[in-house]
Amino acid sequence: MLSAMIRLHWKSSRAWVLAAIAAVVALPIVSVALAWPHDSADVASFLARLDAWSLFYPAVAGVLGAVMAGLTWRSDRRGDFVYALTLPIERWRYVWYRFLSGAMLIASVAAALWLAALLTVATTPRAAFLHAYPTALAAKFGLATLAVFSASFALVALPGRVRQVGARAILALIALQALVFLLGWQGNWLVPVLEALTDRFGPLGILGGRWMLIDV
Amino acid sequence: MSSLALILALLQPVPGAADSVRRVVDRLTALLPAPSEARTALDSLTLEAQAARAASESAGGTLTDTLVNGPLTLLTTRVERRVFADILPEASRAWSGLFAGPAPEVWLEVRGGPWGSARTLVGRHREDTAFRAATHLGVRLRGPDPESFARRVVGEVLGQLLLDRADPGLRDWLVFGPTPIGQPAGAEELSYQLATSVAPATRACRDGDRSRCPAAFGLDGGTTKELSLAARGALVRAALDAGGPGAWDRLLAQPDRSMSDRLAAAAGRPPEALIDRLMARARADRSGGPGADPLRWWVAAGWLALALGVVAGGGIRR
Repeated sequence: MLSAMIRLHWKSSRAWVLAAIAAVVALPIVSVALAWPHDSADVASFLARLDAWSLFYPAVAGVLGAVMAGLTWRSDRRGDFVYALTLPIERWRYVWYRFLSGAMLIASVAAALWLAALLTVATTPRAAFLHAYPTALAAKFGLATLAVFSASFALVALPGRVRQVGARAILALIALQALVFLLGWQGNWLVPVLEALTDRFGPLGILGGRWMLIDV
Repeated sequence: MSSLALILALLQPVPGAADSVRRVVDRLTALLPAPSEARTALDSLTLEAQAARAASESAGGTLTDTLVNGPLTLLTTRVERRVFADILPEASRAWSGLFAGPAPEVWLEVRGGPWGSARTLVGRHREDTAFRAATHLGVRLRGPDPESFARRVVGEVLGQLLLDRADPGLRDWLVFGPTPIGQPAGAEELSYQLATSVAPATRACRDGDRSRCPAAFGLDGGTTKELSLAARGALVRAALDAGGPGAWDRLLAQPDRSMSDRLAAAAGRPPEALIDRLMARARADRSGGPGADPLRWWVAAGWLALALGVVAGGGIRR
């Protein structure tokens, strides 16, 4: 059943997966090429530009994770889970297979990044005291995408009514915050929430930190 | 004049009266209970701690504990007590090891408001009246690794006190005192500086010309100091670590010698050997890159497992 799920998941998400693979293969090559300084001794500016390019890795991880989670449950949501609930399989096993199918597609994207990073590092001369981190970069990308995927997976699996109420509440809070800001009043609740989500102990904390392929 | 002395003086003309009164007073005094041992056993350290605590409380502070370990005394609050208590023995050993003879006694105190943001660790030599060293605590003691942070701030304060009693030449060269404990300031930066510097001696040193390395660290007596103050602090710390007991005293012993000779006297080996060790450590440094913060990885794995558990446990809902 798992292989059937993976095939179906691939059919529904292959455009996104192929686009993500193209992005992660291009990123290390393009970022190192464009960051390369005119003066090879200007390592500081090389590292600074590479650091700026490295922001695209968590961006791609975040988008890929959220999209894959939505596509995982799309067919079941369309059928109102009727087919899923009639299958002769425990619910937890069905959920696990769904998760695994998404995780394996994400792993394929991370593997593509790893190969591209290895190729980039092998063809790039490095100054002394600089090190390459192709394996760590690919592993962090995979883990970050899985983290976003699992959080979105859990949210998308919620009952429809709960998701609607939650989405409306979040939109209302954002609108209220914008109104408070425009009126010049004191009040800031969105930034602390975002900080809590993305700091070291938050569920999206893996998206932070360093993402450089070549670093000290 | 006490009451007893006045009475004895008034009775002086009466023969035998003063002696009789004195005997009666002695017998009455013998019947009274002995003074409390706690009141008679106070030493100067305890009295100073009580005075400091009273002064802090009168100013609105909340000092509650005095921690003493060897030459270090620390007045701390309830919040910071556990963290500093764990590292004070290590700090005391490191401080004592810098001096050939008895280490000077140091007084450390946590100061600031109750909400954590304005806290400062201050320090002074015990015989000084004013605090000569300070470093900001902020709220980091409530962060994920308070012991490392406490170790660093105690090291910074002790480093400032070390430099406070150094000669002007060393103070000008070093600017920031070497931290006796904790990660030496500049150890993480050195690899970045060596990798990115365009200064001529540093580039030559990085590319393998060992004869240019002393100039990069400012040991050649020249006015140009290519590497940062933090790198020089790391070099002095390496000398103190290598030199063992009394290394700091040896560094101060001959202020008219060159910095290179002084470091050699402190470390017991040529400064080039210290530089080689720092360079090897910097070359092996892997503090950058995506794996630099492994805590984020473990936290992400935990959240991932939690999300999966919630969904699998709750099943799918229509």
